[in-house]
Amino acid sequence: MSTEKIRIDWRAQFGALQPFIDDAGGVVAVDYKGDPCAPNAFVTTLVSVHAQCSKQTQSSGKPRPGRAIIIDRSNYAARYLSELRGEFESCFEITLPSTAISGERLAPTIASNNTASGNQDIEVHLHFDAGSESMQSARRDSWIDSLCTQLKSVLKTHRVMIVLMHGTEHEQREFWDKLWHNRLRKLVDDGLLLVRMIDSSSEPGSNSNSLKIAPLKRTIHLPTFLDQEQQKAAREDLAAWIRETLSISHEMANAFAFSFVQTHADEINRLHNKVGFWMEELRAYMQEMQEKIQHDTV
Amino acid sequence: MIQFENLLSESSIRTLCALSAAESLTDTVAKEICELVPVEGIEAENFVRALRQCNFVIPRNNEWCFSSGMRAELRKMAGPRSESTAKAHKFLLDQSLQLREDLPSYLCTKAGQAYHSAAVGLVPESLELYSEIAKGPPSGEQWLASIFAEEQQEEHLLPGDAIEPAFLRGMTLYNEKDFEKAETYLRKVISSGRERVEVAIALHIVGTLEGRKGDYLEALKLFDRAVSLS
Repeated sequence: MSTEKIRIDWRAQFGALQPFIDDAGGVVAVDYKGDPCAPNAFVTTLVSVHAQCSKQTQSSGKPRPGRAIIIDRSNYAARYLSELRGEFESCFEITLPSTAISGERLAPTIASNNTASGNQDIEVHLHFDAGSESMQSARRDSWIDSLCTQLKSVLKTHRVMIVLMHGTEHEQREFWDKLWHNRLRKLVDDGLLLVRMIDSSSEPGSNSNSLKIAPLKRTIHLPTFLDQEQQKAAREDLAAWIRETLSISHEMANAFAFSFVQTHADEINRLHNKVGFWMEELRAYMQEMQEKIQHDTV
Repeated sequence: MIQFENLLSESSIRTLCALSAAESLTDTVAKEICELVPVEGIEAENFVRALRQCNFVIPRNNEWCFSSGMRAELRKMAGPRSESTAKAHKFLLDQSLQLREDLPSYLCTKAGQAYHSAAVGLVPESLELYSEIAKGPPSGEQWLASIFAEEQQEEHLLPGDAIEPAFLRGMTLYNEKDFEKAETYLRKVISSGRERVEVAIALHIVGTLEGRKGDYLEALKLFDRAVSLS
């Protein structure tokens, strides 16, 4: 079942991103102001575009398809570093050293025989039976080292992209400190692409640390509406999609695309939320017309 | 806010509500739900294809989900016990017990099973699963379970006096070092007055937090109560 996201305009944005998608690697930021810019539709399109084969080929002459991972704190499997390991495995078809500890249970040791007299310092530790901190750290280092080595190999035959969804630097601390700094960062020269989604309409937080360890090569901005030039591009994209999907004439496809873009150009978010359903209505309408014509002919 | 009346037909909204029963979807599972709660005049596959164009759909790795605002809106529109949503929950719970590779990954976790169990009325089973997750190590699954349990208590699918939702949320916030919010939830657990390990742990953690704030007497009181339960 093909559910490829259709690209509607965003030509300037993809034009600017193309060298990085093709091969250049590096860190780029996609700046947007909340939902009106349709950031989710953009990421879906980006992953779709990236997955397609590029002109860039391997030394063997074969094209280099793209593989991507989306890191998003609202996804339970990508919220913490420990689980992110599994996401890397499935996205890049690699196997990483296990971090599992047998028989993990929460087994707190609770203080006993407490007495109070005068001022005193109290320090109590919750003990989780999950190995010492140094052991956990060693296990984490082990899979991250292995990830870097294996991604370096993947980069020889594929283009690799990491999409980091919006979050504050504090929320993304694990990613920057443990995964990127001195680790994945070293793969940028091999072509690793990191795309940072930055919602500038949300609460501003400091990005100074992450910008230091992940300097941006480019920032692109997502619009909230389509200007005249963008409308023209959107009409062309949509008409091509209609022609391909419904096998109808250029003129008819252009007319449908014109009317849809004209009525949705002021809100890109609404345009994306409606376009798929509109296409289904169009499909049903064309089918009905065809049946009517056939019936009349008979 | 999505203007549904301008966007979709009544039957499409019913199907969307059914889809919103899932925290996350794969195309295959979404199509199966669309077949279970069909949209008039649109084939399931085409409906899913149309949906994937939307901005309220968030891409994940090999999966996708509705944005949190959209999902909350749909759940409110459907009501937790509406027929189409109930069908979807039952279907998802059944699938969670199958060994299928094309399921959204959360369905294969205890959190997913606890969530859909409660939604179909298997409340004691659900609470047991939530409790097991809470006692496990900190994880994304524990975070997800805390979101699920709180949502279901708010929707009265879980009893108002169940301590599992507050305990899960408190532990998750504590593990994420959001101590102030964690304390609020853990105090809720303590105030239940139950003789359970969750209460002992909550007493212990809040005691530690009080100690950090310098209120040693309060800390000792809480520790002693914790000890009396352990």
